Amino acid sequence: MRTLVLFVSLILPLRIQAADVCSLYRGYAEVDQIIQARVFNSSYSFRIADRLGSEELSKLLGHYVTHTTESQFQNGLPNPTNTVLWYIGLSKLAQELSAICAPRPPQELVRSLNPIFLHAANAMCAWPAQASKTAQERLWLAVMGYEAPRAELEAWRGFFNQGEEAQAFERTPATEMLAKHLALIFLNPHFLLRK
Amino acid sequence: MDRRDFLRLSLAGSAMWLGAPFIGAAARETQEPRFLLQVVFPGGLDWSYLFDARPLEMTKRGLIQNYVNQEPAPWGPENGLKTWASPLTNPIRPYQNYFSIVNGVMMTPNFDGHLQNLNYLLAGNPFGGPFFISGLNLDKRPLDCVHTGGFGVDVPQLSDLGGTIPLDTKSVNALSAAIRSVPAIQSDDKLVGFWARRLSAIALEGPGVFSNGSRAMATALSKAPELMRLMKSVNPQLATGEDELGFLPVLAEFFRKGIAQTGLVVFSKLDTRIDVHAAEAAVKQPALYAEIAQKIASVFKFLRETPYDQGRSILDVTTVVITSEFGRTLRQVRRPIDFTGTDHNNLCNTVLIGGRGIRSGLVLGASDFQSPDETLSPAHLQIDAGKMKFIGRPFDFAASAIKEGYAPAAFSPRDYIGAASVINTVYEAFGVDRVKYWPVEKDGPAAPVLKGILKG
Amino acid sequence: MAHLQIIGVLALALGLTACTRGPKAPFTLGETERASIEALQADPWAKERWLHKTASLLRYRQGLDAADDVEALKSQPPEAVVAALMRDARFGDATLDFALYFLGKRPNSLRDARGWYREQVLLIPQAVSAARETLRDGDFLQLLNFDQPYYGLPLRPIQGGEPAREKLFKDAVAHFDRLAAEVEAGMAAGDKNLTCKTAGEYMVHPAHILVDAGMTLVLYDHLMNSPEWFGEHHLYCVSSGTGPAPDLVRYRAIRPKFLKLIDALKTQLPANYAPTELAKLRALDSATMSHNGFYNQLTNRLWAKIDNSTTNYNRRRAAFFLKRFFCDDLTPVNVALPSAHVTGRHGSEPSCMACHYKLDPMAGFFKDVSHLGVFYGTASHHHVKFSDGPTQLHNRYVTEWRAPESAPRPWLVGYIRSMELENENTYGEALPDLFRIIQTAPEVKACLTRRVYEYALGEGRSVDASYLSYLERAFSEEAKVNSARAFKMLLTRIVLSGAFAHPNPDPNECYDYAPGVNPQARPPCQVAFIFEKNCASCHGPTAAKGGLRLTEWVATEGGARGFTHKKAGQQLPARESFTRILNRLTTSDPDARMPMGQSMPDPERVILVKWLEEQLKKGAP
Repeated sequence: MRTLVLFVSLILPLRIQAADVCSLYRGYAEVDQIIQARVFNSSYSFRIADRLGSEELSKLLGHYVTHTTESQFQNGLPNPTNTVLWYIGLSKLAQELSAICAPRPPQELVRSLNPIFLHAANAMCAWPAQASKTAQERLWLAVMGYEAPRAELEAWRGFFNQGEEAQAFERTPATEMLAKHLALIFLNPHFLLRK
Repeated sequence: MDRRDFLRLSLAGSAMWLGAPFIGAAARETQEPRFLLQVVFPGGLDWSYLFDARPLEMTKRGLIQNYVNQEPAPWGPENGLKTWASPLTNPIRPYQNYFSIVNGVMMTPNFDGHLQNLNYLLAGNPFGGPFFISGLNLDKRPLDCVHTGGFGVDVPQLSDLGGTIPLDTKSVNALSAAIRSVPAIQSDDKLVGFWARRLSAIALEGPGVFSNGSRAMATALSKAPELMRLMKSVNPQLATGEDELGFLPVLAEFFRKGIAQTGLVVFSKLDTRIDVHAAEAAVKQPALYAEIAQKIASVFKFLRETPYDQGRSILDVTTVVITSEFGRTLRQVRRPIDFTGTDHNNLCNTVLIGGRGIRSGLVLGASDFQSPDETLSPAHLQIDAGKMKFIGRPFDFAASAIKEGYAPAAFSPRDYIGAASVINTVYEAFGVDRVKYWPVEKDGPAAPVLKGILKG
Repeated sequence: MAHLQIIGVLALALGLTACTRGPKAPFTLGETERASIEALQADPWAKERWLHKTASLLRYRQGLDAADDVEALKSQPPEAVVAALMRDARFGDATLDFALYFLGKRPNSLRDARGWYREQVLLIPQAVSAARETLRDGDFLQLLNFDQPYYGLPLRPIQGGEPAREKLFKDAVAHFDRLAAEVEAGMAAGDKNLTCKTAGEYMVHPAHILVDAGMTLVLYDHLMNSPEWFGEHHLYCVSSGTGPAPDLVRYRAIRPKFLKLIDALKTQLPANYAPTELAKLRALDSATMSHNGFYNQLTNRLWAKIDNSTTNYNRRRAAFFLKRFFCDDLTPVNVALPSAHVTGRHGSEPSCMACHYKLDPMAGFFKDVSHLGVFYGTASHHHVKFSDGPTQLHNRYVTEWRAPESAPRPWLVGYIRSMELENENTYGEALPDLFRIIQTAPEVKACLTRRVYEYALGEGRSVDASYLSYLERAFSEEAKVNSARAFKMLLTRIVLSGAFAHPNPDPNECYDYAPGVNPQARPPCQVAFIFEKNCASCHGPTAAKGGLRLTEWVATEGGARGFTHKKAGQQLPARESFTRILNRLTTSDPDARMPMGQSMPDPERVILVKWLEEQLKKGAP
């Protein structure tokens, strides 16, 4: 119980106050567009709403609404609901994309991917071979671009290669590892929050 | 950021996945359940069709429009203040002991626009600000507030709505389905742990905008496992229909399961029907107000009949506030009394308040101009020279009674029950620190609490 | 909300430009940008991040992709990278998105899945024109020109294909002619019943056929709201029934316009028109539209939803224009009530007057326009219809804005800068005057500059007033030569700012200053910002009332820094100066409370008071 009380008191100061100027989630439309540009080619139209199963839910990720005179960006402040929805939508996407490492990758998926992403992701299918480790940075840059500082890339790579789970990861199939790599890029605040 | 903050954040980051699943349980262990439901009928209700009616004599004398054409009846306790209620309120009579009526509530005296008064109702400032719910002492539930119905024509300018989630029956079902479609976020999941640590690390990088965003994400993520776990247990069949009333069972379930502690229900689809000025539309109002009365009755019926736990109903644990952004004028200028509409009356509103912590069945406060020959106070005439509006009667907050025979010479909002007093009464019921109480006027003292309707 | 957002009166109006310098020559970068460029060149990873961020901004979220030679871009100087990105057609989308942001109408995305621009975007022609002009180094300031064409989507595909469409066009003309002949017969015979009997069908049916032929409902609504097509008949036959009989000559002029509209529609057949490129968007010939361009903006398009109700009396429209074009958020606070204003007309309380002195005269520009945007004309029998239902005679309605007989002008309508000094204001009468003011007022250019900054860096952060002033001055000067290039230079300066390059900027810090401004010689950014905004007109570089210059931060006796504050030629100790300023900010005496005769938002006053109290607590000597 003491741990619990300590935890609650630790969390309290984290609350964002009204007066704080705070980065908001980019919203569904912008993230759709970024993923479209960095992961897919023009033969496929990516919509996170499809992963959430609802157009309405995608609006909870942040969207512009026009009321009477002008547009407002709504639902962009991170809260438990939209954070869970990003998690659902993007972990599903990561899972789908990881199918390229399956013994017989779905050709429809392969054809829909942009060449830079496909090249980097394919290299990850060699996991845990060294070739996949050297491809990590390429995968990061293909999806994240240069939006995050290098330290963020290093932390991500370190988690998979040197963290306490690294040994367990060595025994994990490539498909699963690709999904994990991608999910942690997608869910990084540098990917999801406005700058 | 000082060292203490740093330690807090670092520890929070590492402790997050140990403590998160127990947050709701901790809150429930330490506090009795208490919820808030605010219901808003936007557009400016004409309370003369509900709980602030006038005798037909006033219509015959050309003072107030009335298309019901039936005498109102008294409403109130045997030994207490009564108000006149329109016959349209009859469907609510069976539930009259579930709530009290506060009449003569002044909104913002300087503005008669919908937006400014809606801002004032929800944020205590005609130009908007933090939603008053953010001032409540909320438990650490996954969602601070669930808002259903959207807003009407005017969208209040509220900040700090971070914990308020707009949901309707359709999206709550979709949310439930989406959550069921993936493995839950687990507190011991290494991936999620890494994600949380990165959020905390970025939050610590400085006082920057991006760090603030990362901190907000970290807080949100700390509540995510609980939200997913609890949402999975919500029966998606609970939500029925498109109407806001159909959402109440979901809200009750959210309260029961510890998902949310407050709810805001806005009957936004009624806005353009409520906010009519022209006589052509006003003559159709009786049917609309019969519908509104039915909805109010349904709210109380539902809250009373829906169990929270074995011994208590939802109403027993929920403070309920039902109102509009303002009332309406008696009539319009230069229109015959049998063919006139109404305009906005920011000087007089009615609030129905009941449930947890509230004494029910009472009438508190009153509006003036109750009879054709009433002499209006100089203060009234100062702000309504044309005698087009009701305003409240001066109120003695210490005695919880109208100041009989007191006719102030000059208008001062401190003489009247204001929206700030209503909000402060809710704050009192929730044990909110008094420094957060809303003032009567900008930079003025806190508005007095309506002690007379508080239990205990 | 935003510190930036609450700069009601910008540096130019305060005379702050006198203390800042623009670039030495138009279209050249200054020392501020040079410093950023050097910093970027020194840190390859920072440059890569900057490169990506800049590409995302200038290509409307798309960033760098496979087609980009990133290594080559990295090897180029940053300003060359920016120039290259601006040559890309995608920069048009970024400009379009900014233009929409400036006008307060932002869609979630500009294009649909086919890559076509969305109709909600095309319906805002100023934004489209500004973006098109920018791509060809033309006139970006078309953004402020309300006389614009209509950029439409292709005609909707219909059953039976193009032959069926062609037949419908012919049917529409035949129907038009048949009905017109009947109306004309009624008019010629002076038979109101006959005229009006057919007029209803005549107005609606041919337009319906055009909708069947694939015309958008937006254009249908436009036709229905046009005074020539509908208005005169409506007044004569339906509305008040008191309007004069339509004039036969004017009536006959409708037919050629109708034929021209059909010709224009034929240029937007789906087979030969896909609105995927700004440069290839087709505008309908404005001659086919029944209104002049100004009023087109108020019908079905940009402003359609800014209603005029009996409770807002056009003030909502006025508030929108003040906010979007003048960056004036109308935050009302303590303000002295001058004796010579229109007390009692709309709002007479001092706190109300803080807004209404400018809001009401601005609302008057819309006095002749219905809630749907239809021009009433000035005839006395016209009725104003409000969005909440009631109607009022137009000639009675407009008396709200009629000036007293002794006034030097017939209307109390205009853009009001000062309650006391009329010669600082710009007066007008009707909407075209407002549109002219928007194109010429320096406040609008300053507002545009600020919005570009906010667009690139986000709202809610402090910015040094000297820096904004520097950007605005450069933009205004360069726009005189070429406004598209000026816009590009403005964006270039901003993406080369310290704030843009910073990965996690503190919203209360300033990262950029005008050339020649020493940040050490200023109080904290946020404080300086508020003082400059609210106080510098009397206590700034050009005036030092009471010996106080709140724009100068100097070392005082005992080593503490303070403002230049002299009494009898002697600098006051910092403590005494701070105490005096604090007292004047907090006193309730209206004759002493600062800023004198001006409004200052309460949150800003609180920040100043807190800061001054901190200085005193620190023990400034």
